Amino acid sequence: MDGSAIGARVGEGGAGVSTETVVASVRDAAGANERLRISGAGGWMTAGRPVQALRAVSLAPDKGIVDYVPDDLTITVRAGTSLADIFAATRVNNQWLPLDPPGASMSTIGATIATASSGPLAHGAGYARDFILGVELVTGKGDVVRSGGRVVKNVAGFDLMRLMCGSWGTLAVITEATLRLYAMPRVDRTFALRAPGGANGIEKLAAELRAAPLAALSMELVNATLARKVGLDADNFILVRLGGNENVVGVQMKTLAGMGEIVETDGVIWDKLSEAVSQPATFSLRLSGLPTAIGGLWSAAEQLAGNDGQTHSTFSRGIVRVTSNVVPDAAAIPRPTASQRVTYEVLPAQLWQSISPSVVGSRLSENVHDAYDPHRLLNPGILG
Amino acid sequence: MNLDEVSARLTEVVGERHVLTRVSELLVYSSDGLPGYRKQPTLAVFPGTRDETIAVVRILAEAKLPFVPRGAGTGLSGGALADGVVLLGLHRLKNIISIDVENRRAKVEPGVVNLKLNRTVAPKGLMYAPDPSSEAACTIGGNIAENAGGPHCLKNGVTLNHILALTVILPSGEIVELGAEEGERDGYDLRGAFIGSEGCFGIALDITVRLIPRPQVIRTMLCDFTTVDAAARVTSAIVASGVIPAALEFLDGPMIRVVESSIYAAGYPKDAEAVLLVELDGLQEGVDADLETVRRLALDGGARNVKVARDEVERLRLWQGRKKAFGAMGRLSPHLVVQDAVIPRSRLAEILGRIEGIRQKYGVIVCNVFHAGDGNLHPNIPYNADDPEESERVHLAMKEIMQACVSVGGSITGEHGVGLDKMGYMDLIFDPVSLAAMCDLRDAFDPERRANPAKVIPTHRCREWMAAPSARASAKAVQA
Amino acid sequence: MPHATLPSDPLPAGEIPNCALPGTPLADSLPGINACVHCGFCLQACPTYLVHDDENDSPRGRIFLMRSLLEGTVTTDDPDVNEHIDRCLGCRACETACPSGVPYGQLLEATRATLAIGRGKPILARIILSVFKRPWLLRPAMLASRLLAATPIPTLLSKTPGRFGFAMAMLASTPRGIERGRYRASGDGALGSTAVLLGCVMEGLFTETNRATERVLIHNGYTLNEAPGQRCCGALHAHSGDLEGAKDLARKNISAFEKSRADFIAVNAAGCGAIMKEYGHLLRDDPEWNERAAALAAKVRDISELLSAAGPKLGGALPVRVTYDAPCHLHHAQRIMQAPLSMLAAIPGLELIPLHESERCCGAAGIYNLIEPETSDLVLDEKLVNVHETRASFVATGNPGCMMQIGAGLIRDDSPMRAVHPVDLLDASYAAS
Repeated sequence: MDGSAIGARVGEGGAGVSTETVVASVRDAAGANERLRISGAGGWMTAGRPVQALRAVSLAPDKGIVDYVPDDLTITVRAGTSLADIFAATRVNNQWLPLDPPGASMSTIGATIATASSGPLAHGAGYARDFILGVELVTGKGDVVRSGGRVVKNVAGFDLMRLMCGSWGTLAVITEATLRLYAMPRVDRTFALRAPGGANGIEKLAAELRAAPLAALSMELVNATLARKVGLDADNFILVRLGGNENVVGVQMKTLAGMGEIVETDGVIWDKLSEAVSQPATFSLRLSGLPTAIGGLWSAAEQLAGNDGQTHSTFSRGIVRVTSNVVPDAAAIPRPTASQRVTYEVLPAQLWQSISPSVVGSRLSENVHDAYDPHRLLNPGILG
Repeated sequence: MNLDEVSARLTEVVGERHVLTRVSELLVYSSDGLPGYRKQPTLAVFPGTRDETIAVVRILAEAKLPFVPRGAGTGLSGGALADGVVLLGLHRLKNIISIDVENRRAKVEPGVVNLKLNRTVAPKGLMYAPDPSSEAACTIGGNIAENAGGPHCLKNGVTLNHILALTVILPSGEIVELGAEEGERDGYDLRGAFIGSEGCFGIALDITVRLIPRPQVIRTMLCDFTTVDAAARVTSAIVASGVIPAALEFLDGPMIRVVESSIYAAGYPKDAEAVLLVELDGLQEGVDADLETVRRLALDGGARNVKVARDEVERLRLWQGRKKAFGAMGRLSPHLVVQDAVIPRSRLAEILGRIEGIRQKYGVIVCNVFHAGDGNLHPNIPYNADDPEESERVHLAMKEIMQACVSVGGSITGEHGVGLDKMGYMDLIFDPVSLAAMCDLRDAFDPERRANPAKVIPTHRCREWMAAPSARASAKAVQA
Repeated sequence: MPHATLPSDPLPAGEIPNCALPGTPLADSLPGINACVHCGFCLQACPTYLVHDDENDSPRGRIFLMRSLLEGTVTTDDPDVNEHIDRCLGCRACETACPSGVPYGQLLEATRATLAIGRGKPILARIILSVFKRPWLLRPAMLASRLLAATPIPTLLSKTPGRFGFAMAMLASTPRGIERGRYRASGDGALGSTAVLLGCVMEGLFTETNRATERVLIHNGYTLNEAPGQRCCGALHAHSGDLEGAKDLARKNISAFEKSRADFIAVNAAGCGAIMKEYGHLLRDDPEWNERAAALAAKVRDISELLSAAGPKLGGALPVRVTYDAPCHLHHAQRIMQAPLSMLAAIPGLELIPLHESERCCGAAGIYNLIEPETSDLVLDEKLVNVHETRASFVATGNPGCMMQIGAGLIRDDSPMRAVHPVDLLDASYAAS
């Protein structure tokens, strides 16, 4: 647990967390000149650069629905509310928040936004940044700030919501969020399409799927290790989730069947996948590039995964993620190139400095950091 | 550097024809798409290439001159008005740099016109989704500044959801890459922060946009109602049904009658109190089934008639009334206020009732035409701005309408931006601390506060406005 | 009979306090100016904005200048204002783009008339307008031009730099029509009687097209009435601010065509048809003539409208590649878009190649190509790029100015392609049947 807080002693797992207590925590920490580890349910605690903080605040206890008007298709929740709770509350009205990051069931909405994590639904529905309508934050200065609002379309004021996405708690603590909901598709079916092994085969199939008349909710490529864990044969598969009315799902199913061998699977497979890819790993990263470059990205990831590692890809977005319990040699860990970006999630602590010392080192990022957490109180160093 | 020296240096860069300094040449730039305001720039400069743009911004940085970036000047919030400062027009940067059909993206210069991009990619089966009503004239750079929407953003999202990367020149002259042309980008989502920053954060030199496949089929239907209430309820029912219309537009009775008595008559029933224009798109099979769902919801919800356009000619005619609604109002009286507010969809009927009350109270004409699916209202008041008494009534009515929208949890702008026009309303929805935090974000991009000064956030809400960070820094240096 | 309609609902009233130019044609046009909501939809439709990248050279900008003139923030002798108003082609492409129905063409004429009060026009413009007003000067001038056009001289001089060379190229393009056989036109005359506006340039330089016009009208069931005493339509005068000159010519034409007792006035020059349809507006303040003017205007039809209403009758096979350029005063001013295509569709074997931005101005704009050569050339260059791309044998366009402008451009580019009137093609097709 290289990235976890060291010697946390304040607010850890405590009940009664609220905007006021977060403000107090930030101000107390500032007064004592001590750093603060911000977390949600703790799913991402091993990720990111090592954080040295004597104090910790978990937002997980600050949960609950603040406002949910089904007719508006919007929901306002406290940051510690889990995606599972949001799912349960909205499904009674046939609505949902189409976000399924790794470990979705326990993930808090605050952490999902802060880490900008996403899952297979990113293919058709997008990312947290596409659903967020408003936030309440406590900045590193201890200010309570609101951005956005509770309506589905809003351009009033500068956008602090997007700024929170992927900021890993380093600018402000998210205490509340308003999100856009969608009506659940009336029909929701999942098919597994057997996929070839090599880079060329993957690239060709991915290109065919992109060009086909499909409007899938998800299209996720999984490797043999993952396929086995979710109950399929030990082979590469593309899991395709089709949603909509009966006709539109039916016609797409036929299109899919024309492209290879397909089997229908239970929708639970997505929960299993989310669960499997969120298991603690000692090494995980994402490779990304142009969708047409997916073959090379996939091969590189498979090589890193070895025999037991897990590789999965939202290939339409050009993203491949690998998680493993075997850390490759430092030299074998991929570095960014002109055609390939690398997002490091979990690395051995000692490697961060040499591989990716910072992703917020530019002058502009520094300026933004200074604007909201000038004293570097919040999750210091997690992004560098 | 005084203004003459700056002008001389700018002329060296862009050529004499593209630097305007005489009052008679600058007059037409004193107004944008919201002609109720007029602000005179001191100088206008129109760079024609990326390099020229960089040089211009750096000259202005050196001279410490504030400037206002401008695209096509079609904005409806007065955001592109330069009040005694330099106007920097980007409309000459109109190259489509590249189109990547396989990866569904295009890289464009900021002055590329929205519709021009769409016409260029259409033969390749692709589209750029955001389609503001001004698509025939507005630029992608302007769309970025305003985070523009449009009738079809209900299904496809707004500008923010369709921009992959930007190369930006900050007001200081520094060039930064935001987002990623390919793959993911770590760190702060500065691309997200930049989109919708109304020209206050810098100038986009190039923009990589996401393209999406054109829908297989498009079907458009018109539902007419004898009460506004029923149309509002049907709007909610459609949105809640799981059908995601490509567009869901609402015209109220007064608006219908204005359109139908103009040359843009679209065949909307004149005695209706509301019509809904519903467009569905996607795969053939899915659209057919959704069409039936919407028809049933509309009829069950009290629609008098549901008419589905049989062909492209009929479809375009149905849209004509919606798209030309503003123009039709232009013929009612010399001036027009176009308002832009957003409310929770469930409060639609209630707010329309309150707007009717406000209309009666102030004796003004209000026509409503708006994106119902998003709850994005556009109450319009045609009037004569040269009549001070009428102008005052219109102003008060607009303010009260805005207050009503805010009171139900709404926002003061859904797609037009704050600009100059809505600054006064910002206090209604944000507390001083939040406004100050927004100023802080601007300061991160533009510490000298030179880009589009005195817009978006009321200046008194910016902490230490009187002493910008740069001023503080130099004061410190002096003390030291 | 399909008849293109123009905006007719009332324009917004309203006054400018302390109007700086009371009693001028521009002041009378305030309602038209008021209709502009400053939306900017016209920008991308405006050829001069697209080549100059300055809103002063756009419809929205020019309307702003017009308002500023009335408000007194600029004066009529301001060189900037005059430059930008002069530079307008008057193509009226902004009118079809305008959601508010601003009558831009009328505003422009009123502005030019108002500006003309205080200054003279370029000498070349004065000479041309003066000649067109006087048949005794016009006829010999046209005859001389026609004789010259029949020699190789204009072609030889067509690449001489400057306007002289361009004028020679225009002249050289006029005899380059389409070869056609002869046929005897006959019809039942059931669709009514027509009187053809002969036109100055059409009768002077495109005589054969005028005869073809008469033949195809007869062939499609119209009869022909003479209209002696007809004159120049006055379009050139109105567009350049000589409203009084235009009104004089209009009155003479009204008298002449009234005497013809024809059901329709057939016009094969888009620019002439556009102004004649607006005679009612032109003479609106003349109590003696306004009703007669409006009545005559209502009878004016472009040749394509008359033929489209008649079918037109199918002709014989004419295996040619043709592209269609929409004259501004047909497409934007008269809103006639489909009728010319229906003429081409009546020609078996004709292959129609779509012209990119067909409805964009070619830069001819009356005498604009002679007095604003720089802008005109920029606009023409863009048109020629699109024309060359079609690889057609003929560019069909129903206006003499456009035929000569594009024709001249083709000659200077050494292209074998020719600019012809759609009537010429239809006539050749009838001759082939």
